[in-house]
Amino acid sequence: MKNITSTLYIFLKQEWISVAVYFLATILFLFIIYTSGLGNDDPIGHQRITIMMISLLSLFIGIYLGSGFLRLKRSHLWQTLPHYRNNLVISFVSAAAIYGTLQTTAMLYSGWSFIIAWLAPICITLLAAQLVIGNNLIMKVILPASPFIIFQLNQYNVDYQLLLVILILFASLAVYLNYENKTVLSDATIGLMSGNMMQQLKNVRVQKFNILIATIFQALGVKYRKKDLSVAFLQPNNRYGVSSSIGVTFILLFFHLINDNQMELEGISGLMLLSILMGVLMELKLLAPQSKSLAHVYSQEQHQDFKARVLAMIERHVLVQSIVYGTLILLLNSMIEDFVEPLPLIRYVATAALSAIIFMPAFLCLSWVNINFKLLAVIICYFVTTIISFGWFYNRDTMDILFLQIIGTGILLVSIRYLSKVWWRRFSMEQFMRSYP
Amino acid sequence: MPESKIIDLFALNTSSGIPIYRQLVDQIKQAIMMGMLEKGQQLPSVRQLAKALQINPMTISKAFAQLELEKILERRRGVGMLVAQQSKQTEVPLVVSESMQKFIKIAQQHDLDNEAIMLLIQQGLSVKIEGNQS
Amino acid sequence: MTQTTDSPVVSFDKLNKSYKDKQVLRNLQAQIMPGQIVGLVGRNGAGKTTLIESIMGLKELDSGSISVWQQSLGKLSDSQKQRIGFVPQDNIGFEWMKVADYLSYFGGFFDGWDEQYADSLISKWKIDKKARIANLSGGQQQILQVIQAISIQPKLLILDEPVAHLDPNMRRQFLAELVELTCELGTTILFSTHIISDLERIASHIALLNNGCIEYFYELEDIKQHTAHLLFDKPIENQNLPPYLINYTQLANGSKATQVRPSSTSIEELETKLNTNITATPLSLEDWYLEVTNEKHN
Repeated sequence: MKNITSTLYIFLKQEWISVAVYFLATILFLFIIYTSGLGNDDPIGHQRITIMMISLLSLFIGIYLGSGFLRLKRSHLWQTLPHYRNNLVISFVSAAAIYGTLQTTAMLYSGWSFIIAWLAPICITLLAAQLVIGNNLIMKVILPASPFIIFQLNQYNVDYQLLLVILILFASLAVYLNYENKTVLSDATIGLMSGNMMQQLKNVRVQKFNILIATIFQALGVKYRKKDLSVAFLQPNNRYGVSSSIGVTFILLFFHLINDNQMELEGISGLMLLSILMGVLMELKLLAPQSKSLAHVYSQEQHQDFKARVLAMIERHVLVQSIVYGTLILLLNSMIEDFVEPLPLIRYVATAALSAIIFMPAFLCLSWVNINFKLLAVIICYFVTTIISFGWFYNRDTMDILFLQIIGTGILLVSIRYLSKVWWRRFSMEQFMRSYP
Repeated sequence: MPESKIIDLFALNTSSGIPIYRQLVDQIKQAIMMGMLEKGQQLPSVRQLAKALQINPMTISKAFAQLELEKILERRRGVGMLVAQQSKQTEVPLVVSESMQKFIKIAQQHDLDNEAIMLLIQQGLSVKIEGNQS
Repeated sequence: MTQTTDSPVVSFDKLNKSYKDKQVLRNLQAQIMPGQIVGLVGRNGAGKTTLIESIMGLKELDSGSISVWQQSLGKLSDSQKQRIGFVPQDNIGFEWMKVADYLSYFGGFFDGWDEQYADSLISKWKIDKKARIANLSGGQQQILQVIQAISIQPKLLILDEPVAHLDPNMRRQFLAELVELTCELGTTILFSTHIISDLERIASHIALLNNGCIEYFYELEDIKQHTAHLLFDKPIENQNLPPYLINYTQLANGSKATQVRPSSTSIEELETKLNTNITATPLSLEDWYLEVTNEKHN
């Protein structure tokens, strides 16, 4: 028990600030829901929006918890001491329960029954964490997306109570699979977050894939040298990005087949995109401190410069990658939609590109060194943007203004991002590394 | 001599080819011969020695066992290892006999006969004595 | 003190392990008895890490079995597992934690955790308790793992190249702690290293891993007593050479070979058997290691 509390303490302390952000965002959500008049005349629609919002928040928290879990899982004790394994899993579920419970009020307020209001966020958090800790790519893609799919089944008048049971089953399955996955050291290179840069660089598959990706980027006209270290560091993301793009495309196709209401599609694809970027950044956060040792190995004298260069390259890589994948996902989505109901393709291309650009800097901002007011402001902006995006499809008359708003937010985020970069570049790299993560 | 001082008696060379337990055996014998360890004196325990010299305790046990067998040390229950009362340095230390054999072998390889070898030894001894006197 | 009960602490039974087409462990068989300090040596890629990780259950074997305290790995109880200290070769991996948090958090999972001892070691090695692990030097990170592993009052301690990044002073202190452990708790220790001179001091046994099996497993003192460079005054016919002599070379007037295993035949007996004069120079452990690992197959 003593150990569980200390593990829980690590889980919560590590991202304590997220609790604050979390509360702010929840309040903001509720505020927007009740002032924007979204679905006021439609209680069912209202409920569905709430669950979407809550899912978004849970996804956010789930990924944070997942990264904490993975950090502790790296110890060999995970394999050698069953006691440690039990402890970690119990603490992980408890932390998810704590965060989930915090959302109960918001859910209750929009008319959900208590049992759903309490358990659904917990399950979604647990499932979202799979994006980071899932044993394999399929788990990483399917399990976090499962809540969205499950709630879609409501279209066929399936009772929400039954959906909750399915959700709980999925979450339990996910936790069981996490528990059973004993190999973490030997298979470290296979996962999304291997946590060991050197190991990744040594892996033959990594190198092959790396060269492939670099060649593709070169063919696209992006200047990527094959020996670009940043590509090597982010290789698992590349693979992850490609696979999840495919996965997401399938999920979206599935949505289109069962969904008669196209309102949520952009929202859902946004979530998918969000989760991919989140994964990329989490990994970046985990790997960045290791560039220190790498820099010592590869350059004796100018390792400061070298580290700065590596980090800059990683960032550039994240930018390019998120735009490419983001656009790809939304474009595919738009094309499917266009196939169902022909609309000017150009509008979708614009939407796709814009959404990608909006999401991308928001998440780069999340990788900021220190949590500060600027970051809080950005996160709030981000959530507002998301809400507005949802609203967009409700009130098409005001679309033009919203369009401008979105462009404005995008520009704002990019400029904040740029300023932050200028701002922290003033620190010495050593100091930067120390405070990272 | 207090126990802490006894530990200072040892000067081990771990990277030489001579086993550490043999070095210990020889050095204890030498200390007794030179009167640095008195009869009936208690030696530090295996643990104390191992920790102080930072060597494996088994090595020390082995050296003690060897010395016990040669009746140079005796084990007393509840006290530990003592320098034996009737301990007399009658036999030649192993190092000496070994280097003697080596010396003879090399001499023989250089075609010296027994007389020449004896002469060499006598010369060597007289040089040493003269050296000591001057 | 050191236990002398006769059941092995760790025993390997016909271990086999290969990666793709490379066989790393080949029918490996050995036993480690209580209180032994076994130094595991061998060239890079000889399979030292694979062997160590398989004791901890971190690597699955192709065939064979390992038992610890005469039970298969899976059957060890939690309290038994808590008596095994382990330092892996990898980086420490908790760069984001503070030293004190790291120790107290992971120590909390072991019943035998001795906080005071850990604290005393931390100050002995001059590690700042409040520092973040990321800011420690490579050697300090390594020693931190060692501190964690030896402060749990282990009965069995397994270390995979724990001293690679330590300076000589730290290494000597580390060796002193190992001696302390065997003396106080009778801990059985298995550790792999490339620094042979460390082993000469504290190892009781040397296990040399070569070609996927433990080719040599002797008491350290036996190796030192019996191994030597032998100089013969004439050439020896190959079939007359006993198998414990390797690296035979013909010289201008004579020949030489190296005795690498203890044997019951003394040098004098060998002289009469081979009908030659032999000059023997004892080998240091490092010389022995180099001779054995560079063995020319004659």
